[in-house]
Amino acid sequence: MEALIAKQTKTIAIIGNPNVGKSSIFNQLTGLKQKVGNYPGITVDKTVGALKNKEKQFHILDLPGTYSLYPKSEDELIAHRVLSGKADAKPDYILMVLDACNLERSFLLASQVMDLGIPVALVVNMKDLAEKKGIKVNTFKLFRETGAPIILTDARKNDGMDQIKSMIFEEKFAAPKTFLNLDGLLPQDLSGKIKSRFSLETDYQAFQYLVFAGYDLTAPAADKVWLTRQLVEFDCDIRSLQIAETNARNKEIELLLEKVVSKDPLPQRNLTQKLDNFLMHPVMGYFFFLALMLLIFQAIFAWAEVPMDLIDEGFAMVGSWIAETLPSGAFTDLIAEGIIPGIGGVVIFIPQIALLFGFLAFLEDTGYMSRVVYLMDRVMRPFGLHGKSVVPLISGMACAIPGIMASRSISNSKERLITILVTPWMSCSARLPVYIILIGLTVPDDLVWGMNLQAIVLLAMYLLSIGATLGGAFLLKLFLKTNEQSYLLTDLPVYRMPRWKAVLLTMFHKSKVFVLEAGKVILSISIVLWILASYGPSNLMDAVEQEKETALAQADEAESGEIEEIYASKELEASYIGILGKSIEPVIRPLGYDWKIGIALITSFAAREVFVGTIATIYSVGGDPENDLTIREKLAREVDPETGEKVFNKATAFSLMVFYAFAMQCMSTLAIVYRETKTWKWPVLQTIFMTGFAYLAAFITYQIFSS
Amino acid sequence: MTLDQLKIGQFAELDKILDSPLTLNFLEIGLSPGKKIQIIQKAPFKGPVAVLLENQTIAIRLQEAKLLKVKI
Ligand SMILES: Nc1nc2c(ncn2[C@@H]2O[C@H](COP(=O)(O)OP(=O)(O)O)[C@@H](O)[C@H]2O)c(=O)[nH]1
Ligand SMILES: [Mg+2]
Repeated sequence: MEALIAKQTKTIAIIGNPNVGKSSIFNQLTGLKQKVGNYPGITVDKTVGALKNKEKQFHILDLPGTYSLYPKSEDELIAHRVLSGKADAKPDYILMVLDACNLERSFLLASQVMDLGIPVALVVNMKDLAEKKGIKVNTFKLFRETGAPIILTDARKNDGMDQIKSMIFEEKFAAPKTFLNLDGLLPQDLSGKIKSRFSLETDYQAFQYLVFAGYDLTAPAADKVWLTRQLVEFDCDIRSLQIAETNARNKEIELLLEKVVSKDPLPQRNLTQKLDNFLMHPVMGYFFFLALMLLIFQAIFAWAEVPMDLIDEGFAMVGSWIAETLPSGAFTDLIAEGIIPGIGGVVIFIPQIALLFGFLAFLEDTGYMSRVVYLMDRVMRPFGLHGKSVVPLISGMACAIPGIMASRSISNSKERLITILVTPWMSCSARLPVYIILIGLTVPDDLVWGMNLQAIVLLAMYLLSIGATLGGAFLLKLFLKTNEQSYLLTDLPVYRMPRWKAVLLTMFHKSKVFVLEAGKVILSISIVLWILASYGPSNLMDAVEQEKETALAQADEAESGEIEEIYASKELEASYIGILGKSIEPVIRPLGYDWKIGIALITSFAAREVFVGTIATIYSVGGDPENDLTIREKLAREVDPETGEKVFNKATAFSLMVFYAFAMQCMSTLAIVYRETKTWKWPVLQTIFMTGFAYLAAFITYQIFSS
Repeated sequence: MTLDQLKIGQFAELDKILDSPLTLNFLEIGLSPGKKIQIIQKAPFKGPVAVLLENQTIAIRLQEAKLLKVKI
């Protein structure tokens, strides 16, 4: 029964140029919240959603945009693979989204899709903008000319969505007339041969087989050889065939649009162009970009401080409240000493992460991001990067994972690989907790030249990471080889008012994901850590316990508190985690770290943000959970039992920050790099290089600041 | 002359696409012969240029602009 129903569910693929509103329509149809933004290249993966009423259910596929059936980059490849049935089964229907303001370009892809023979419906979106520009589309004529159902929509205002839905439920998709007759292009005999060999229906399908025989056809090798032999036999050159096809289509489209579109001549100088005169200005444009970056930085560090302090104190209070209220015992200790501080260490960064993602969503939604690509292309080129690398790098300041995904829109494979490899060096939000805590401990809160000294150090860490990212890219450029040409050819979309609700939603959603994902890791690591820190090999633990008993028996009331504390730390040393930390201490001593920091380093290889939680757990175990010190206060009190010096002095803290800036400490990033490069070679090399470099740099930093 | 030689604000008509591996990319994004074209910004140090077509703005590098023949 289950299988039967599954078979009846038909799949509808949403296809169209980049930035025409595909994801907006997908969201309206499925109720999902796919990311929408005014930048070609926001959607880089396919997403499935469901649309159902009482009788029927459909799967809807949202896909990255493409200008034609011939993909030029990884993201465009996805639409091609879906349409040709290489990913899964071919979709049953196609919802072809067109931009009413640029029907000419939209129709090139639409006409190709129509010739594939899959039933299609045409959605002409952005009707509000077209109306403003005086563009009128005669839908009835268009329907008569193409044979495909036409729906006019404004996806931003939810206008026309009901028509799309009822069209889908009534399954009014139609196999349209052949748009372009291939007679003059593709020899009829050849087409006939291919059609019969692969049992295809249309000439254009046969043409697709020929085009993709060279690089992306899932067919037995014998078939591919056969296809290439046919090309030679009929003396066909694929590239000139494709160009001839595109030219022929453009001509047909021009004729068609003359019949169905009317335009009022309107004054052209609109708002977008006035804005561009300033935002893309060769001097002012760059100042504006710099000022914007500084504003974002300022916001993250100044505005976020108030809510962060509140959260920090809140968690300290909850921890001590639990310790007082619950019956004392191992379970209470786990919660009060391990889990609460661990979660608190993540939650505290919500304000900053939300702000960072909010700014990014804002930049993408207004259309400014494409201008950044234009402005930065010349700057990035000497480093072996592309203007489009800026988007992954800026996203990398929030999190490397979406950043690496965004690199799919870079068509040159060398530039894309370099972007993927260096993005983890951008200072992501998970490093912030580490920096903030360490700076707070060791840098005085003074004013220097009217600027806060702590903010200056933090800015320096960011500049260091940007410098290292570009330097790393430059090095990679020298080693990696390619013979692909690099080019820039990108659309600069019109500016739009950001949808504030969507920006807020992104902020909320990203924060939620961050807390949940990090929360899961931290929760499990806290529990494991706490167990490892509370128990140890019984012979060692017993010995410490015995010693403590005798010491306590001899001491008077006043001394007993102090003795408790000394032995708490000795017990930690005798625990499993203590033994582990002690065993790696020789390796990290030169960087200025003790074995407790060593434990935090080990756990941080899962994810950087675990640092604060780990440190909190380790320093809480054995301490007195009933005094509600914040994490910062606990760390500030920590002294080396042998030398009596503060553990978190300037040299150690700076060395740690440098280590966290450069080391590869994020499993999820490694997994994504593997997925995007399709080999373990790169993530492994990346880990070795980044961590080795981090060790060296931290060593040098420690030597400089400790002398 | 080719597109890169155009002054900012000067109108021209796209005449011909010189042969290169990018021909298809140009045609697909909407840079097809016969269209009115104008440069609206040039980035410094021989950076990319922003060109205005009838109803869209596109950024391309000088190297690509050299492949587009225009007539005034
Ligand atoms: N004015 C207007 N804007 C729209 C319309 N549909 C989508 N947009 C905006 O166009 C941009 C691109 O939308 P998106 O759904 O991400 O396009 P996709 O790249 O095709 O998935 C976003 O800024 C949307 O808010 C529409 O009908 N009218
Ligand atoms: Mg999209």
